Amino acid sequence: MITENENIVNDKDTFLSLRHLVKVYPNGEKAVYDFDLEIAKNEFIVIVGPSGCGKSTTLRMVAGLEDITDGDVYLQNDLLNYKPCKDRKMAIVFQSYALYPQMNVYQNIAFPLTINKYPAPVVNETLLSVAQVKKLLESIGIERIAKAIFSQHSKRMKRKTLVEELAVLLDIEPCSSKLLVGLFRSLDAATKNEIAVKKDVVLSEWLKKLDEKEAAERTKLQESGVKLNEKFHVLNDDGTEKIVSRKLTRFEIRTRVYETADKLDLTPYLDKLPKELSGGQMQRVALGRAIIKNVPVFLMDEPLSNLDAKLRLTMRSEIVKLHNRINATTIYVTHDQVEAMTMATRIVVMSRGFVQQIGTPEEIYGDPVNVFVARFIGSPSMNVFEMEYDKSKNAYTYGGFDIPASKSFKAKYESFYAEKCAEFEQINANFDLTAREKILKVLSVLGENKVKAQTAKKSNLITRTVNFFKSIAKKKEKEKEDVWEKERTVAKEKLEQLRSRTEKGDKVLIGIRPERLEIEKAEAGKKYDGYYVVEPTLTELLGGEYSVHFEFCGRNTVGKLDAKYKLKAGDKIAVKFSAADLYVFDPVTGDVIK
Amino acid sequence: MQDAKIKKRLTKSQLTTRREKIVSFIVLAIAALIFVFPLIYMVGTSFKSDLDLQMHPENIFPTPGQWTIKHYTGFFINGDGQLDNMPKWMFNSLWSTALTCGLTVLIDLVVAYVVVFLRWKGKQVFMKSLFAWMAAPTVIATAPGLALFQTVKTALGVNNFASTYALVYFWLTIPGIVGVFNVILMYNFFKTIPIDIIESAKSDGASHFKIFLKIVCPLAKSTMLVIVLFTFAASWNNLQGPQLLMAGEGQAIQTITVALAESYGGSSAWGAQGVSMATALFSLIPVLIIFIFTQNRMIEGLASTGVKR
Amino acid sequence: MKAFEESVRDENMLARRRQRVKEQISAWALLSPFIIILVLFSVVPFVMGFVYVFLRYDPYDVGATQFYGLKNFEMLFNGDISMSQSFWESFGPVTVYALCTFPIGTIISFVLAYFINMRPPGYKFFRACIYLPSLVSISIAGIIFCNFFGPKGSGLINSLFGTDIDWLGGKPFQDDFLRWVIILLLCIWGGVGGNFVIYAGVLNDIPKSLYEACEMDGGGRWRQILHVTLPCMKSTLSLTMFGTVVGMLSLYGQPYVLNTIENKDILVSPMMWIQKYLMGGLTYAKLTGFICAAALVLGIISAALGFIQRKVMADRRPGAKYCAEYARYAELKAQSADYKGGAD
Repeated sequence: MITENENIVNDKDTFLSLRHLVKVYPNGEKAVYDFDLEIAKNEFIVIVGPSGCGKSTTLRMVAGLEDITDGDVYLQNDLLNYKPCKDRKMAIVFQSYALYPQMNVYQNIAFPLTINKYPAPVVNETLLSVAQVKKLLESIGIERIAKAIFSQHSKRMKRKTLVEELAVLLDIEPCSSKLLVGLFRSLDAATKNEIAVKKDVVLSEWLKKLDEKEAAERTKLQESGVKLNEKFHVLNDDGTEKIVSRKLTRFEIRTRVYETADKLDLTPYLDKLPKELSGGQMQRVALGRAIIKNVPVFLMDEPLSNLDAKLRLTMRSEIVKLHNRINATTIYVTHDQVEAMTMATRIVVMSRGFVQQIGTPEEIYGDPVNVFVARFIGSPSMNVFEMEYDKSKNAYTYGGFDIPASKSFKAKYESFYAEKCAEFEQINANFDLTAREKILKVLSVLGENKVKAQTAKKSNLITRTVNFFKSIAKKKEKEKEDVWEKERTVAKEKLEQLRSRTEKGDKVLIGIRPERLEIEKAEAGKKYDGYYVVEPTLTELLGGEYSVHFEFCGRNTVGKLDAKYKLKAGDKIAVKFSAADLYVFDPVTGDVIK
Repeated sequence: MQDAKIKKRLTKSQLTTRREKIVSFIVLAIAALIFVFPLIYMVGTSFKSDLDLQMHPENIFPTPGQWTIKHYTGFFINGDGQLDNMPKWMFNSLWSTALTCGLTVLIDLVVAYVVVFLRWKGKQVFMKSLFAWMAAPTVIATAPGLALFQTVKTALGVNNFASTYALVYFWLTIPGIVGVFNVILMYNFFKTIPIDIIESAKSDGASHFKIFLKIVCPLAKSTMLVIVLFTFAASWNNLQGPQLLMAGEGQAIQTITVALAESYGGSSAWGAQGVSMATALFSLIPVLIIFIFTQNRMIEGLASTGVKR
Repeated sequence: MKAFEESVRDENMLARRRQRVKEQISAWALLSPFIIILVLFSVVPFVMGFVYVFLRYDPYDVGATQFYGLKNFEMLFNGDISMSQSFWESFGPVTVYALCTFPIGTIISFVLAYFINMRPPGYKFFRACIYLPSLVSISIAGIIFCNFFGPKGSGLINSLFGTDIDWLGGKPFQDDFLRWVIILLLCIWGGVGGNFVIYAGVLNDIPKSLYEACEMDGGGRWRQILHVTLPCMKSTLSLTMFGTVVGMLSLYGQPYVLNTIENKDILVSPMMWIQKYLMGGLTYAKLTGFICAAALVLGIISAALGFIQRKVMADRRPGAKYCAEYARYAELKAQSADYKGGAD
């Protein structure tokens, strides 16, 4: 019974694994197709895509806010599909922050801690406190302890507050400081005031008391047969620590909230209500509520899109820093490719429910697998224009202007189309669900006519009955064909187009990034060989450089020119397209040819 | 193996959603039945024959074959062959309610428009006093209001039926049109209209009257509807006010609601259930018609009043 | 040239000012019907309510008006006069009734709204059904309920179960418990709809992400209701409850339509008392000042109750102490370095 799954599970690098996730909404609309991703620990994954591409749905499936139609989510080999959100060890930050309007910042951050139970080892407080107090007496001496108590004690405060403050001050557990306060209170007033003089007496007296207490507790433990380890945690019979779920104490919650607030610079706003905060502050509170849970996985659903541009920039780096500091694993959803490029360790580009490419920012930018990714990533976006590929010349031509292709391109071109033809023949020959989804994916790459993604309607009682009767009437086969008719035609068309290409070459999509265009200011009378000389349609000065728009192959093309060349109206520019910087895409499928 | 088994199971949230739908459906179905049952009983009883009423008060509907519309014909023409009081009451209620509704909407539109879109001094004070007035306990004004009415009545020397009728209905409709709550409803709605629309219309040379008529009124349709319904229900169902004004004036002057309460209310209806139920159902018809035609818009409009506040 | 420009500017300014004045005048002109009616029919009687209490006033005999001083109040607070006595007694039943109806009505409308918001199939129909009784006038409701709970020969319930219970009879605090239960039923039947619809609207407006956040934080259904639903509805709840509290004391229609001959004249709410004596015609006309005093007392009590309700439900910000606490915490943390490792 060793399945393929188990092999993957044993892969050590995988921390969170999303396997072939599929989402079909109850109305039959398919939102996510086969999302497959293995995430290592401490990765910062950004899922990016235009709105409505299924990225948020994917995130919500991982979080457990949305049901998973098919596929599995594993966290450290633990199947999460059927766990409620709170047991998934994840925290989510929403676009709208989702702060509780009636609670102030402190309460908002503390909320997850106040309502949940957390597993914790059982500690024998008596022995722990005795040990801690003894150590304290040894290390800093009774005099300084007394001073510490006095410095707090003078203000009339409740015993509980005193105990808690002393715990913070001396960096000990509250139970120890309680013991300490108890010991101190048992002294008479005269001794309290002259503690420096009588310290030896007091010390020996205290030690005696502590020893007595320890001995009493030890015998009690022995009688009941409870074993402890060196940290005074209660042990089970098999020698492991006994873990019990319990609510956190107020002291623990407070310490954690203050630490979190400190990390996020929220301390001055602890008493403010969400409506009194700015967008950035609300965002930080939402982050605080996520990180205080101390979970390994963070999910963020477009957390910055409600902020203004400047704040977004600072928060971007804040989030990355935070991610690194707390050693988290993050999945971050955004529609902003700049966020994706700057924050991610790996990017997932999605369109219409399909994963287009997964890779590091460098890969995605430098090596896009298809024309959708190429256009979507990068700012300004890649120039893409249609040119004729002439096999005999091994060059791309348009209107008499040639760009030589790289020497090996011809071979690549031929093998690419041979492969694609075979693939599409296969699709046409056996047009099943997978084939159909392949066609849908091709359409999603090209952004062509959206075939309404109808799959078999999720069966509720009515449709089930209707289908039953339909099948009786033997119309079902016909129905199915009708539903997929569009895709079939598309598949046939695509195959035709692919076949016609193998002979002598045909149109291809050429892409080049604006920053890779070599542009010079054309001087009158000079001859530019291999350059394209044109008058720009629009030049925008962006400080250090011009953004130059010009017409090429009937498309508006953007390039960059250093601002040291002064461009005037009527000036021409010479543009060079170097073969190494070109991306060539197949116009039929949108895939890159290489 | 086990994995496959688990997968077939519904996930927890699917289960919860399904359970939620089932539970809420059951609860609401029962609640709806309870809430509508008295009305169904009313319909059934109004068609029962006298014998059936006596023999089978426990049946909701008449015994088959014993349906009768006797109780309905009875209150148009009475035993003496004359017009009964029922059509008079109906008429009184209908025209006074219609007038109140129309005037209320008009006055609310005008006031809200003036407050939101015109520039004048004293706006803040005006709105503040309106809000304050909303919280005033109006019970204090009942007795003096009646005294005022009686004083005016005496001063004008009103003594015959026609003049009493005119005065009573004037006193009923006119004070009813200045409901502060409705004004505030309309005011809240007008505040949501972007001022840019008004400004651009102004710059196109439209007068305030034009803006009011062509831009604001069409926009305010749904709020107008809500106000009409509120006013209609309140005015049609008003018992206390008319009761005071009509005390001791005879039956012909009464509105349907007052008449029903006094003639068939409480113990006085016993022995005449058929007629009383028929009358009640008959008087409910105008409200029902309005409700059936506008119920969704009305309920949503009503719901939004809570949201806005 | 300059003079010309200036004159144009002056003219423009004048025109603008004229425009302003015009707008001012038209605003008040348009408001005047509203203001006049409101003042004449509502504000004037309201103010007179404070004046008449000091007078002996008879609307049929205005000439005989006398200054009474506090005599009206003396009469009202004099338990020996049967009228005053019945006024104070009428507070008893209505208070008990209000204490029961207020929570029950609020909870029922909230629960129904909560279920409606789960959007089961046909929820719009259910919503209409539950709202419909609110439109039924109190007289019709009275007729129906009297038929429901009539005596054995004619009442639905008694005939159905073969019992002979006197549902509507009895006197306050003696044996009229059942009558109050029925009044309560009537109030809930006809009164829940409005609040129910409003609550449903507000519930629908609560952002879904709040529930999701609570779910992620580990809150189940009850916590979601406690920490998301109720706080988000608080202002609406407060407002509707204000209406309910004030409405409760002016209870009139329900007991008026639900009576038998034996308790027809028993006044179970102060509003009934006022209404009865106002409708008394000439007999009680000379007591207008006295009735006004009673109304004033009732008005003040209901305003006070409403005020208390608003104060109790008012938005209270959580105590502002965490900043100070944090400061203290940070201070201690900073000092704690001194106590570490025994360094002297």
